[in-house]
Amino acid sequence: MTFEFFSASEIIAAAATSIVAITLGYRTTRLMHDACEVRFTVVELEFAWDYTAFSNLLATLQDKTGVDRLIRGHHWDSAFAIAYSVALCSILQALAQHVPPAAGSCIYAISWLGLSAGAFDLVENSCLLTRFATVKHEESNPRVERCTDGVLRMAAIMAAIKLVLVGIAINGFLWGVVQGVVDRVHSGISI
Amino acid sequence: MTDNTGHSESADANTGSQESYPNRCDLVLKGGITSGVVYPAAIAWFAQKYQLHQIGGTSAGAIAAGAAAAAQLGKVSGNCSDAFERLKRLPDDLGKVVDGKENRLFRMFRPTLAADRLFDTVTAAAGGGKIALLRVVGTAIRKYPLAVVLGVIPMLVGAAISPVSPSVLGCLLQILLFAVGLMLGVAIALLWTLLKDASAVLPRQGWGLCAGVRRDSQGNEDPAALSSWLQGYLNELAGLHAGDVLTFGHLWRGDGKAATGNIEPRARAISFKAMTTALNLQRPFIVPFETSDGRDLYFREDDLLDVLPRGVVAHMRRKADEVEQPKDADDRAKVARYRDEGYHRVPSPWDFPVVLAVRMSLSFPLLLSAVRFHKPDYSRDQEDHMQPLWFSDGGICSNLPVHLFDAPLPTHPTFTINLVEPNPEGRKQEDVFVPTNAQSGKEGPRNYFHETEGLAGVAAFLSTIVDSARNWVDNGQLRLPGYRERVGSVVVHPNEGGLNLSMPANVISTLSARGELVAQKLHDAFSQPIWTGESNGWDRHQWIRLRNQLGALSSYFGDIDAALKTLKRGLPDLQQMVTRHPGTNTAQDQSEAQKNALCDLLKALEKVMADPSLKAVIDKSEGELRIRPR
Repeated sequence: MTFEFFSASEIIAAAATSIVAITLGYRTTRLMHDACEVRFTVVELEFAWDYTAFSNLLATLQDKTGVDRLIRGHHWDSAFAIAYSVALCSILQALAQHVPPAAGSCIYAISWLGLSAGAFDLVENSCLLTRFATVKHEESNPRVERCTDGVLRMAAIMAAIKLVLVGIAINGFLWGVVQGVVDRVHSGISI
Repeated sequence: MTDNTGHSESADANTGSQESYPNRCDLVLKGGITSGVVYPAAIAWFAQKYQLHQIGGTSAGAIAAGAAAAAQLGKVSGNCSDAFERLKRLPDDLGKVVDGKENRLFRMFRPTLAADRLFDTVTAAAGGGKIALLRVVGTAIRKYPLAVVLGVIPMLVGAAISPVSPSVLGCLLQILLFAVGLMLGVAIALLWTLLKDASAVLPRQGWGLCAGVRRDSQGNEDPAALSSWLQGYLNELAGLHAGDVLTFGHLWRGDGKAATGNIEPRARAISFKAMTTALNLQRPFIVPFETSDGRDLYFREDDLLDVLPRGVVAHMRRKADEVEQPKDADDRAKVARYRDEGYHRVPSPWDFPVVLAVRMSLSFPLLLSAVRFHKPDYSRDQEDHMQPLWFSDGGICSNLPVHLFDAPLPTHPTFTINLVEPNPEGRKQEDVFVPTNAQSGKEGPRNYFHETEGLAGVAAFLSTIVDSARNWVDNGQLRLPGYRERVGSVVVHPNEGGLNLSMPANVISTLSARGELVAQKLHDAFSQPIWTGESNGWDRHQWIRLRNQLGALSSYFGDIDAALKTLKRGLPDLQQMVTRHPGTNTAQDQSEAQKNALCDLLKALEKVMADPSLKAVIDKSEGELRIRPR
């Protein structure tokens, strides 16, 4: 059996971008995890929606080290956003060439959604970073400067759009792979 | 005169004046799982001002109360003079991260090996919040990868067999359907696996994910698991050796030695009580078991080995043989038969381990396993037939047993610490609250479930129904004068305490600081003049307690008086009643004396109540006397 679904250069390119994205993702996750003992706080921060919820969540961080890690985590997350969105986009575009035409056009269109997810992630990170910059450490509890809810709502909306786009992209990829394999099987081409 | 605690009785005498403000107190602490971190600093603060005499609580409150009793023993016996300083450091120790992974508090609640995955998934919801469900799903995906694969397969097969749409829009629609189907498939597979896991694990291990002890495949006990840690910690505070078992007898004697027999409640140096719930009997029990009902209990070693360290079970086994044998020969034979079948009698109250009392009180349903004892089944005349009796969390029936150390005329204060939920946003509330006037706390605890909207509102409505059923007795008492002013409330926010097993160190220290503040405020409210500058809060409180008792007595004896008038013949002949209902041996002259004494009592009360000004005040009392099991 030969493997002709993707060409060797496509596989190498996909593997390389995926490795970069996974490495950056791992680094980001580690920093976020170390920052907060309470699990998934980072996602909760993204969806905090208003000042009260946001400041309550920040107050659960251990100390200044925790906040520093959180800020660094978001810097790394920005790099990760670029990496995963480029990886998603390029893998989907490569996949689009190996599926039936209509499916290929659809997956090609979805690849741009994958890329734009990274852009929304960057905007969301920027919103949160502007808030983190105002954190003060009083009596060991991190406190964030009083602010209007606008920036936090913007972050939540961006995060929601990002998740939807990433979800569509991943599902598009899975669906595309299934269709590609089925197409190959039907047309009698070895996978 | 000095009693076992080294406490001078003269300090309690003549408590009516400010100068003789008592130097001992009782404590009652509410349950609340990890909210218990509020208590150590509060207890340590009280210990600076008072000798702790009677301490009780429920669930996490029982842990704190047990630790306070042990620390008081360590202090008065001289075996651990810095016991309260150690206790005060406990929240900081619990917040410390061990092995770079989790803090000590979280390690206490390690599940059994079989329940590991289920535990991690369920506790991901701890703390609630908008994305609690997302946390649970995320954890479930990580813990049950096979279920995810199974959930994905149907949709992959569906995508493979359905023809690809010839249009781009159709393809997009197919992808969206595929996405929805994939999520649904994974959700169903995860839910099915979780339920299957829960139904297999929970009944097998006492309906709890954690047992309190955790043994590896070689049988080595993890010293950080709840019961093991608690056993060692209580010994440390009490100044006992590592292999010893702290018993109620140690506390009652107060000199570091174990009592070898009963000590009258009034003569006990330190008293400790914990609430638990006998699920099969659907009612609460107070540990130690001092009633005939509670003494008729049996245990099996393997049941207790599931929830206690081996050393404590060995102590139970040894002391079971020392329990006084029944006088009746048939009963003795029955006990012997039970023993041959592996059922051992529960040790006498003075030999009962404090750690077991605490563990029986802290069995938060589904988190910590219930504790299995056994009791002959008398419900259907099958007393020969032994039936399991499961003890679960005391908070099921009484999470704040404010009544534990009630006295008609108290000689020292009984402080109570309540843990309350925050009011909805927009309603002002202090994080620590102590009533300082006659009106505050008059209504008792109040809940604002109706202000929650959407599906969360429905959940709040249902949980309020359960809470009302659970807490109506406690809440009813909390609003009465004589009770409400001795209760200090600490607000616990959603990200604090409760099921937040992995609270960060700073949250723990924030709660701990609130505990210290509530202790200070309660002391201030009782020790300082707050009523027209003439008397302190304690003086006033003592009067209110007595007034309430007189009011309740007045109503109680008023009912007897009315009955006697209706009966026309007056007080029934006690001797005749005794003859008709054998089982007592009251002689004729004793019966007559009792009858006369009762009449005298009625007359004396009538005399007291004859004072119109006193009667007017007493009539304000809203409590009533009634017989309830101890």
